[in-house]
Parts: sequence; C-alpha cells; structure tokens
Amino acid sequence: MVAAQHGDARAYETLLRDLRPLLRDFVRRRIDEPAAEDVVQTVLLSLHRARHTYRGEQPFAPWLWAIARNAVTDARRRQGSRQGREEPLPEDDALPTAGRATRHPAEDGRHAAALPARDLERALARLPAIQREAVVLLHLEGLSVNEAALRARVTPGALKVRAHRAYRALRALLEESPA
Amino acid sequence: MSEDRTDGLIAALARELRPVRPVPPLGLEAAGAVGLGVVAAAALAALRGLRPDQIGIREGVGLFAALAVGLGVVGASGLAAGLASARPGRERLARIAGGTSLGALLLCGLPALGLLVSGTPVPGPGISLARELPCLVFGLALGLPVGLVATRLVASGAALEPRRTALWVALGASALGTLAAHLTCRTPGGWHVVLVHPVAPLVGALVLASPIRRLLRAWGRPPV
Repeated sequence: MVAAQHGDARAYETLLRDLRPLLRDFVRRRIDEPAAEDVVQTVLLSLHRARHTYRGEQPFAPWLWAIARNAVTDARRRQGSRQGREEPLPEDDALPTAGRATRHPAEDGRHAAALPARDLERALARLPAIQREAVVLLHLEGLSVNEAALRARVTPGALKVRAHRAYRALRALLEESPA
Repeated sequence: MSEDRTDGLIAALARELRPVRPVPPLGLEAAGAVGLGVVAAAALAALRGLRPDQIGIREGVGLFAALAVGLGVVGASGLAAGLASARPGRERLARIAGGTSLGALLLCGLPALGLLVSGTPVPGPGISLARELPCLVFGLALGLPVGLVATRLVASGAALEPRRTALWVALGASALGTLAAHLTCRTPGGWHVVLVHPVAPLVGALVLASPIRRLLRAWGRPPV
C-alpha cells in the first residue's frame, strides 16, 4: 500500500488482486450472494479513495477491515431500507438502448415499437451534463456502477441517483416526442 | 459477469492511481487542534483575567479548577475521537476517546448535583435564560476556530461515519470554547458556573454538529 501511495500502479494492482479473495470471503459471510460481488467492488473503491489515510507504520489489516466492515454495514442498511419501498424498474432500467428495438413509453399497452437511435440521442442531448454522463457510462460504455462512479469521480450512490434522474427525464422526453 | 467487472474495476483503479501524500500522524493532528484551543483559552484568560469570584463558596476555587480541567478533558478527548474516527482502523481509539469525553462531561455535571443534594447555599442569583445566553454564545463563538481547524483536519481523512464524527468534533470544539469562557466569564452566580458551563458543550455539540457535517461533505473527498 505504501508503494501504491507513491504511485506504483503494478504493486497496487497486485495488492488489490491479492486482497480480492479475502474480501470476497469476508463479504460473502455477511451479504447474500447476488449482491456480494457488488459489495466487494464497493470495498475496493472505498479502499482506493481512502488510501491516503493508511500510514506505513500501522498494521494494514485493521485499516482494511474497517473499510470493508463499513461497506458491508452500508450495503445491509441499503438493502434493509430498499425493501418494501423500491419500485422495480422495467427491464434494463426502462432505458431504451440506442439502436435497439424497445417499447416506447407513449405506447402504453400496445406492441413494442422501434425507437430510432436518433430520438434517444436527441433526448440524451437535452439532459444535464452530469445525468448524460451517468447514462453514457452505464449504458453506452457498459461500465459497472462502481467503475462509472470512479470515472465520474462521485460515489456509487450519487451516480445511481444521477442515473435514476436521467431515466425519469429520458422517459418524459421520449413521451413528449412523436412516436 | 460481475467477477469480470471486479477485474475491470481493479484494472481501472490501478490505471487511475495517482500518488497521494499520507495523512499526518493522528497524535500530531490532535495535539495541534487541542493546542490551538488551550492556547486560545490561556490567551483570553491572560487578556481578560480570570473570573474574579470563581464560584463564591468555600469549595469554589477547587470546583472552579476542577471544572476547568474537566472541560479541557471533554474538549481534548472529543476532538481526538473526531479525528480518530476519520482514520479507518482507529475506531477503538475513537470509542475510548469518545467515552472519555462523555465521562468527563458527566463528571463536570456532578458538582451541580452535589450542591443540589447537599443543599449547600450558593451565592448569587439563580438561573435565568436571558442572563446565561450570552455566556453560552460566547463559548460557542470561541469554539468555532478550533472547530473549523479540526473539521479541516478530519476532512483530509476518511470519515466512515460522518454524523458521529461531526458530533465528536462539535463536542470537543465547543468544550474548548466553553473552557475559555469558563475561565473568564463575568456572569454572576455560582449556579451559572456549576450548571451552565457543563451544559454548554452539550448545547454546542447539538448546534454545531450539523454545520460541521456539511463542511465535512464540502471539504472532504467522497465518503468512503
């Protein structure tokens, strides 16, 4: 970790790959399987963001596990609060993907219609920049939430909020536009 | 699929890696923040002079000094708890320091309880909000610079529980501000000293915690 603090990317990557199975075991003991790998990613991201708080003269393990424990606690809390109040989104978060046939929101109850990619591009262009970035990173570049958050330099939670707002705005914009 | 993404994330993190300067030693930061508060209190006492009548009862000098020490301990350990809670892996220290701070605050309240129970006559007027408020506000204002410095230091770490961290910093800073006020305040009456001064850090913590938390969010890196 000290080498990583000095910018040694290879040492850092080796460290993270070595930590990964330990973190996976740690998380799987506390979080149900479908979400466990996401939490492992969150821990890795948190570790990256907090790497400046590690001091070489201190033992590494308590520092690492404190971050991991915190991520697990947050994940459990989110799971708990999400249950019962989350409105499930349709397939693929209701976001029409460019160039792919999809159901137009205005055609409620009818057969799916093809949405031209240019409609989506136009709607995307009308979004605020930070919302557009979230959609592009998640859906056009296919990054995971954690990777996209890293790229956008925000927390995963903030990125999800931006993406959710973007989906709502996109739906509204696409409903406005003629089929 | 998700495991592939973890691989991708690790590669991305390594790609994004930039050198960082490790945070300074915790002891150094704590000493700096607490030192600032103590020096400010001593300087104010030197400028304005100590409260002339202390408490006005036979045990007054001792109680006055004990309260000053108690407020100092509440402040120092509160700030230490705040700073430690922004360092992953130092949670135990944060818990011990936080417990010490709360314990000392409770002890500071004991003289008032003792005077009440024993029925010792305390000279001077009783408690009146209008009379006590300026002292409370004064102590809070004196704690602000320490609070800002400590918040800046905490923000350079990584607070795992920002709400609790902000509460510790607020308690520590307002206790050190109250210490300065305690040493120099001119509000008459023994009850003011034994009752209002120990309560002031608690009030300060409640008032300052939320703004400190906002500052932590504004000054800090993304929460861990």
